[in-house]
Amino acid sequence: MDEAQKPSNQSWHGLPAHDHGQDARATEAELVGRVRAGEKAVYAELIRRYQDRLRGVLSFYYSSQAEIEEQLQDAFVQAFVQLAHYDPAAPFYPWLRGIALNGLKMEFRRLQTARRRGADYLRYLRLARLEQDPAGAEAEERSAALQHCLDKLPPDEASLLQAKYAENRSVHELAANLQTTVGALKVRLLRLRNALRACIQKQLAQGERA
Amino acid sequence: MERFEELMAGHLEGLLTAEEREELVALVRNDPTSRHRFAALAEVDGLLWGHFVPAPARAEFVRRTMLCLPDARRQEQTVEQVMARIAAAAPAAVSAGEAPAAPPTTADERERMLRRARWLDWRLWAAVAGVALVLGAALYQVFGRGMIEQNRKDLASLAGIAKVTSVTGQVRIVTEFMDTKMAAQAGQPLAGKNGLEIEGAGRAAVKYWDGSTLELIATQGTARVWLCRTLNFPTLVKAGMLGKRVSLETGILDASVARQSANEPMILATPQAEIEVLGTKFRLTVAGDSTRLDVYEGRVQLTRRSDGKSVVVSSQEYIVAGRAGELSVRPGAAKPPEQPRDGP
Repeated sequence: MDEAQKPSNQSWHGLPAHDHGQDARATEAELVGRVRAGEKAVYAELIRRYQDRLRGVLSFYYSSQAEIEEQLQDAFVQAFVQLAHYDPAAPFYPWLRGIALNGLKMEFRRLQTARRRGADYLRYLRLARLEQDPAGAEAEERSAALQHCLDKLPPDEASLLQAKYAENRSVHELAANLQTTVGALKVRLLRLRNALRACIQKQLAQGERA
Repeated sequence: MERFEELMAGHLEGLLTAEEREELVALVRNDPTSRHRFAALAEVDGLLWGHFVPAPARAEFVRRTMLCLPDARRQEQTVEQVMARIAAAAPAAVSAGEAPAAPPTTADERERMLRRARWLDWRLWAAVAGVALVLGAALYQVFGRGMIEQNRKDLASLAGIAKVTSVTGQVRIVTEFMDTKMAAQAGQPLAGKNGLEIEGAGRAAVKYWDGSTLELIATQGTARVWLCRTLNFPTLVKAGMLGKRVSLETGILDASVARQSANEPMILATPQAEIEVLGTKFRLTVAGDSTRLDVYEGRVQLTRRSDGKSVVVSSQEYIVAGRAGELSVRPGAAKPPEQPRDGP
């Protein structure tokens, strides 16, 4: 029987064996240093720390949760692969965001040169925002402003959004539950989005004045 | 409600027909106001998708992303191998009749030696590439045309990294987010980060482009397996870390893995263990809080997550890995399964 035992804490997936509490207290530089030294499982803490913020930025350019999650995962994997090139003296998040946005810029460049028909044209329009905001700062601000606006929503509207976006319910299911028509619900959701858009604009304008 | 709003509301709910979508595109393309309103509404919709992510989905995201990470140890090995090759090139110069060089004592000397080693390295690779080209052309003329044509057909049928080749019982393809499920059919491509889920008694077979096959079997309850998309990461391709990665959450997985490169083994993860495969046949069973590995051909390395202990399981041997306890290989693997049926 060929048996080789090599005690190791390394695990490319091994979350169960890991002390998350210790990682949660560690500084960003410590975490990056440990990942670079080979403690792969520590990278999970960096993902935990930054996934919400980066998800907020990426969601600015996408129209479905699956697309957002896929791009987000690509960004974290690419960052892990390129970690040797990261300068630990600089903050980690802007570097990570840069990697995520590079993926979008590549897609935008492809769409710029391709014949844009149908869905490709709509996709191109969304990514065109990167031309004015290559660092994603506006996306970050709008994502933060959305939180304030959602806090102000009446409970009925908040629970409608919760059911649609968090529970991923179709408009048909929601209409049946709310005993309304699909058409009426579509209008209600559209108005809700318009109101949120106006609120976000107002938040940003107030922020600028302050 | 004006036409733009009607179309936009339908677009955001995913209810537009192809004709309606073209109508929306035409409106947006030709009217700057509509274009501006489209961007504004789409932006809010996207932000809402990004905002409403439940805590379990966020935890799941961490788990799945960790599954997709390449093995840093393998990357280091690759760098070490390259450095060793450069270092080995210097003595080769001596044996080729050049004067033996004294050990480098200054940074300049070391740099000069490294440059020479790199040049030798380049010359060696050019020669190897030339010979390979001539050999490849000859082999292609003699044997290759038919095989290449067949591979091209196979690859064309694979939009993803693998395809479903057979389905028995209630089998679903699950996309990144657990909510999105669709009935699986033989011949369907599987993208990375897709999963297969079987309810009740049933089975499904998957074939990779290199001929490796996986068959997922559920005897009761739910069996679930996930593929990890590494094919779409150009950086990983360049770094030579393009290994297949599969996560078996519950159920039985029969695998017949074609020969894999030593730098790109197939890695299977279960809640209790990780298994590294270079080319072999085996069965993996995850039930309750243990993973059983039966090896029919070749050798498989199993690493337990809880303590990082590794063992090599050879042909006709098996092992049961739990969170703790003895980790010992035993003779007498279970009877090998029949080969999965190869569908369209």
